[in-house]
Amino acid sequence: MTLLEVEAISKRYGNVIAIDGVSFSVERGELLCLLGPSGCGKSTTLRTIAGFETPDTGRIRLANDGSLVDVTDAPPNERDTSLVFQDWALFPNKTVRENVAFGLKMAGMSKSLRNERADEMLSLVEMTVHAEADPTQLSGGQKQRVALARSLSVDPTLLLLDEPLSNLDRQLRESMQLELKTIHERLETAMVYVTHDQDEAFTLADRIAIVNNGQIEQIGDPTTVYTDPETLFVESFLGTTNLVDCTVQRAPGETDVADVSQRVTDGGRVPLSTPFDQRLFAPVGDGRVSTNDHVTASIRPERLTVSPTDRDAAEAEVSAGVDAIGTVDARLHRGSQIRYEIGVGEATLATERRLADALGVTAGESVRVSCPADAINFFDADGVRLR
Amino acid sequence: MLTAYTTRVQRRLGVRPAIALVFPLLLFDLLVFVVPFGYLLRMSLHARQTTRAYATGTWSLSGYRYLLEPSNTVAETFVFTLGFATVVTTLSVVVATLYAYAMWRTAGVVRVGLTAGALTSMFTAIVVKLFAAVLIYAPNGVVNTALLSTGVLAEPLTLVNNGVGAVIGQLYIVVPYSIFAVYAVLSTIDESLVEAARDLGANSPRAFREVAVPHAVPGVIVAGVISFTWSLGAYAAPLLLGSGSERTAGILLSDLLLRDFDWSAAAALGVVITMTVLTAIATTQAVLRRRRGDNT
Repeated sequence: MTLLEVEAISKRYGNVIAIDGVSFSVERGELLCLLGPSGCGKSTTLRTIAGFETPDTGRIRLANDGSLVDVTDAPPNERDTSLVFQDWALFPNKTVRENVAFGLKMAGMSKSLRNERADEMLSLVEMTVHAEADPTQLSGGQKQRVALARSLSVDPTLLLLDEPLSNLDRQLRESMQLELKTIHERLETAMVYVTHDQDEAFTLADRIAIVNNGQIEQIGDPTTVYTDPETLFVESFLGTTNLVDCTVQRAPGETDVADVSQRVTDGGRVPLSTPFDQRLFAPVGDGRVSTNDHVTASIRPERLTVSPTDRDAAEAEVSAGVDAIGTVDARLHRGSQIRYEIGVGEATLATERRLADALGVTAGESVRVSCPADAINFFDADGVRLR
Repeated sequence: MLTAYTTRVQRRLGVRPAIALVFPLLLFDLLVFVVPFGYLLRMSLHARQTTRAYATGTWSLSGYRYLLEPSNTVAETFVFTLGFATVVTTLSVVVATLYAYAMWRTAGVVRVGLTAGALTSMFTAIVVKLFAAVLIYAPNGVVNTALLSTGVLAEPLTLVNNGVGAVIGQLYIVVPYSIFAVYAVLSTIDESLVEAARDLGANSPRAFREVAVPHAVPGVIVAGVISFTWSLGAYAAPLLLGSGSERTAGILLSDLLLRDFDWSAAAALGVVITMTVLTAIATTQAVLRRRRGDNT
């Protein structure tokens, strides 16, 4: 059952377009992450759902008694959503219990009932012993728990979370992520979770919407957005990748039978000149590309194979992926990982290995770098994936 | 330089650095407040004399006896002044709190407009402001003309030359200061607190009451103190917008000083007014301190 339907909302402030035609829906029990860089419009989108902003165009519908009701113009207090604020926004002149019971007090619940419910919520987030405490005296992690309990106490149709963990240190953040996941699985409350931290999004989300410049670039389950990106932005925002600038040598239809590699490229692929002395072959993408167009090839570090130069080259040649000789420019220790930067022609390709799997190479050494063709994603000049 | 100064003061006076830092302020207070008040106190203790302002070189309580003499109706004037100040303070605090809340919640042009309104009123000379109020609230003034022409009223309201006029005039003086006293405190509230209250089901007035009001209490109290102490010494507003029966302690004092040329009695009244104001401030501070104590 659909609990939230956001239909083509847009919002601008003066000349700044904060949200530019965003649409998505959230199903019962689902945790949807809005993931994007700061200023991409993800928080504004969340605040629009909560009712703190009114979209210039578009509608927002929220489930109410089994049917979707248009709440676009309803104030926040008339929407059955609850927002966990980035700075938690706990009421400083109320105790922890009073904070958690606040929403129930507003709903007109009697004092004994609402305190009972508040204590229930506090035990869920393991804050029972702090019920009488002054929230300003709590640590960041404790405030976070109280804010969560306060929002959950009103049993919202939809729980909205605006980067709730971003003010916590890394270790606490990671343990809170797991706890949030547990609470989500236990209560099955649908959540919309805004974050700029991709690890957080991948840990928590059932689906991820990648937001950029006020638009959703791609929405899907975590594996799909990572392995099958629609745009260059999604590809480069998630994880690290090697972006290689290429130029289309010959558009489809222009014959150049003298070219040996054409035999390999049949199936509607165009050859690209690359900064390293080798060609790559990109899908034509419904004929969108023509000769001399720029195409970006993305090669994930984890898909790069590094081997001694004397290895037989034929295998990679057939697959029409990368197979080039390069020089190890740098070997950088990064905690549990070692990063190798390998200069290949004009380009630098980086790859990482765990300490245990360290490559037996040092800076200055020549190596063979290869990557199978199906592991390379190509994007046109507008950043749209070529398929 | 500051360090050199504090060490010097420390060495000479043997006091802690914190005290050394407020020393110039204490000196200033001494010169502009304590010394003149000493003069006032001394003057109030001179014998009254009909031919002169006061009998020089004498020591007497006749100034204070004048205040207590029932036939002089000083007590009535004083009670009226206290009542007047209470009414003005109550209205001032309510108006200022709502105004400051509006200033805080709005943004852009509206906030600039509200701030400019309060500031302009604050920086307008009292006499100009009061004569403007006379023009606006007179029976043939702007307000009455508007109300009569729209048919809201059949008869013009009497808003000047009575108690209502005196209160309106005094409000024009104290409200701008009260607004900024409340606003200064309100502006320290995290706006997300109000949003959190709204999110959890509070409508706008409820969010104001649950979040803004408890936080604004110290500012409201300061606004109250400003309004009360200032209104206790009200002079211009009741004189220009009131009638002869809106006789405040300030008007009485001016009469004693300028018309009756009775400086001993005037000084005695000045001392009493000052002591009342100081008592009010001390009481408020004690209440505030106890409140703070309760919270922790």
